[in-house]
Amino acid sequence: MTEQSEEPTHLPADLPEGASRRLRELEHGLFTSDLSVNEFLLIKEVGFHPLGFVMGSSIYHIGLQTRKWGASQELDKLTAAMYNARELAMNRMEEEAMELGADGVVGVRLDVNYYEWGNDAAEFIAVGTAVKAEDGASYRNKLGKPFTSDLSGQDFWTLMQTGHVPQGLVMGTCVYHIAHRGLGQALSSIGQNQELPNFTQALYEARELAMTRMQDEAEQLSATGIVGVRLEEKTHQWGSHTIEFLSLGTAVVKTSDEVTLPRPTTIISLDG
Amino acid sequence: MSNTKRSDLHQVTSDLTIDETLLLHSMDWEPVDIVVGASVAAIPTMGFSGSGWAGATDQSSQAFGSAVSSAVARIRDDCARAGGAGVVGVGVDFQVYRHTVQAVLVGTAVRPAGLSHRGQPFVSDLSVRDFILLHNAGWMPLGLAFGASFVQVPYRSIGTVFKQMAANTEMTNLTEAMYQAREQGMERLQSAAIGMGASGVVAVQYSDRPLPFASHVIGFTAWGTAVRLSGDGHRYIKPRVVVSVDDPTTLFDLQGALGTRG
Amino acid sequence: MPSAFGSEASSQGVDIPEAAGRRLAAKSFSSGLSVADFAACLHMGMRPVGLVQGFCAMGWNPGYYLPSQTAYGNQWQGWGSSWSGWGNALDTYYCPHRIVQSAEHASRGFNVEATGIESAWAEGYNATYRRLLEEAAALGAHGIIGITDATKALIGPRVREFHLLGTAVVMDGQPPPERVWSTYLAGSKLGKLYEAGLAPVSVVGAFAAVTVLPVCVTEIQEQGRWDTYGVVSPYGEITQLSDAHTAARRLARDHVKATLDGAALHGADLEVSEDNLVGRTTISAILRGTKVRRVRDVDPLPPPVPTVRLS
Repeated sequence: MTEQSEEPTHLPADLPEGASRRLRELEHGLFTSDLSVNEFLLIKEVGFHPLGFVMGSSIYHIGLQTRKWGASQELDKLTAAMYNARELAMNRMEEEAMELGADGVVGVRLDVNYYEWGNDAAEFIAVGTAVKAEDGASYRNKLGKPFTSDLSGQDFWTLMQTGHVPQGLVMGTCVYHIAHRGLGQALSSIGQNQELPNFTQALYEARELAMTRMQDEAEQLSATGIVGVRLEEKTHQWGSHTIEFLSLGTAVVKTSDEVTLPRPTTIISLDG
Repeated sequence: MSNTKRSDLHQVTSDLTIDETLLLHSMDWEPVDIVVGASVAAIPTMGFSGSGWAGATDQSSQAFGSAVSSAVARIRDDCARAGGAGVVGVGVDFQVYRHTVQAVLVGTAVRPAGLSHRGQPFVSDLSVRDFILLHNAGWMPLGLAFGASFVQVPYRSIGTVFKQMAANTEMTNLTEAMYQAREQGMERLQSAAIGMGASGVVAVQYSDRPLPFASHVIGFTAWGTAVRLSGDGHRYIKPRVVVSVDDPTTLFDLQGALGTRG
Repeated sequence: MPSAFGSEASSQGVDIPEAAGRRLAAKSFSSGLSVADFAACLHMGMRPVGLVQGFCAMGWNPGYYLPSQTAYGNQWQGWGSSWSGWGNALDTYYCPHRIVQSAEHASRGFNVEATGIESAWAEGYNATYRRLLEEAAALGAHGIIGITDATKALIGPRVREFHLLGTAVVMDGQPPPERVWSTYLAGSKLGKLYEAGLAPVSVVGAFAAVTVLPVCVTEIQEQGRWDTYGVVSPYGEITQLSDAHTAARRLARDHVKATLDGAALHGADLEVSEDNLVGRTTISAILRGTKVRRVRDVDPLPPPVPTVRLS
């Protein structure tokens, strides 16, 4: 995937050559973005200019980890793989954005693709639109990197009006193996309608772990909080009892107490 | 028709949104209860003559009519028991199975605030917004009007199939069968409305699709709310024009932008 | 009710997993609110303090108390009105043929409210909701807004996984809460609710299931047969099925009403499904909504103006 370019460039070695050429063009004032006109205008309204469409990709081999048939447990190697792969894709996207001198990336989407040619391999992709503040102030986060967020243009505008600034897309993941019900247990509770404490505990714990890890990431950014948290469950290609719990959200920091959003007025429309 | 006691008035259940509740409130009406009517009717097949659904189309129209009128009667009873003046926002759900037709109606009973209604409640699939618009314009809903018709698409003879194979020609027998079925469905809807003493039917919806288990039988169903002018004639309502830019959460202030704000 | 978790958890009297405690103790908040809802929430003087959840996995076996009913034809005929533990007969339907009960001919039919599975549902839902409240209480929250029902099936068909998610909020300057309130609403919808003089009390949900044990007439009509005895008309309504469909929905409504104590249910949502869990048609209905109470009277709002949108 990575072709080493011949001339030494100021780009990180991590990015393919095509990227550097494309990004150099963008530095000359052309911008590309997948923003709608409405989003574009709103981002301009809060003093940002879109710089370009940025992306990062990582094809990762997700191996196997032995699971015990009858035990519920976290599969920490798989958790680490899923996390690292996304982290790599995100980092590359951030590098592209840094290359453009961006303050942040909005509208980030994180996808996982599986291809027929790659057994156990998955492509992790992060795409978004890099933006830069027009007043020259830096909006980079505590780690000196451009902020990332999955907010739409409208959400970005609204968030800024409430005195909050995005810091980064934060995520936590946990791959958990849910025990198959043991024979004795299955016989004793067959057909009954009662709580299954083992299942409750396993699934509850897995979700909490994913959310805790997401929160840890936010704390590293000294965020005030996380908005728009989504919780996703995916079985990927591991069979039904091994599940990835993924928690995603945008970490924000409060910069001013002033809320410039006009107080909403009650509108009841007779429009269908 | 029971008289709801004042103490029960607060025991309200409704599936209305807050906008709809406020709208009702603005005309001094209130939601009372969620009300339900369901009915299942049988479609007998014509023995085992091998023709399957052939000839059953009349029976299915009949069964459809029976299921609908029984479901309407049930939801009306439920509304009357709750002391409602009528049911609005009725969700209409029909399913036609091989041997049965199923009709389910769920809506919210409403009434003028605090007034337990006596008399026949109306049943309407209009949303609260539409109900209020109509009400303010001087119209009242009377009930749901239904029409259904099932048609078996005629098989073409081998000769006809060959003749039509290369030609771009109208398949007149198919046109005729489908056309007639649509007309019949609409006519049944209209006569149902006339039977209620309506002067019109608004928001007619219709669906036409082959039955899932018999692709050569097409079912047409149409329904809408029968309405009539109440007393003092139509009141004209002047709409206000709004220009919106895409999404409702962040509307641009066009008046400000154009410098036309008064 | 026994604690769902190990002795360590129950000794603290807490029902939620240990990771939740760590997460909820963190300094930053997390919230499942969209940005628009987040902004509206700040406007209402509510500060989000954390995404909270409740979860419970229940064994789900609708036919549990109904021994071998499907294997032996119409054995339930002999049960009369005794449906101990499994259900509660709503209506009985009699055969018009005057034929003695046999494996081929059901001379009596019943619509049975499957109370066994109804109470299992209530137990699962209540445990889930209680854990949601516990997480919110651990954050010192006043209320939970924007609750979503994230119930889905990850484990398998014989397990029902109840899952509720919501955002806990604190109302600064208000005295500490006696009880945490909760609502499915968030954002401007919640704002309008307050403006209408109503306040949310809690989310409520109820489940009702009606199983149809058909009488001969119902079987004949359902299968589109002609009655060999010439008594049953093949036309017309199948009363037993109509009654079952109506009863399932009305029972769900009545169960919700039983929890209202004079308050009102707002924004209800009715979800109905039909399946063959015990080899017989079972119609189940779930009714969800927010229980609200009036905190002040409001005058009727000015009449709305109809608008025409030009786009």
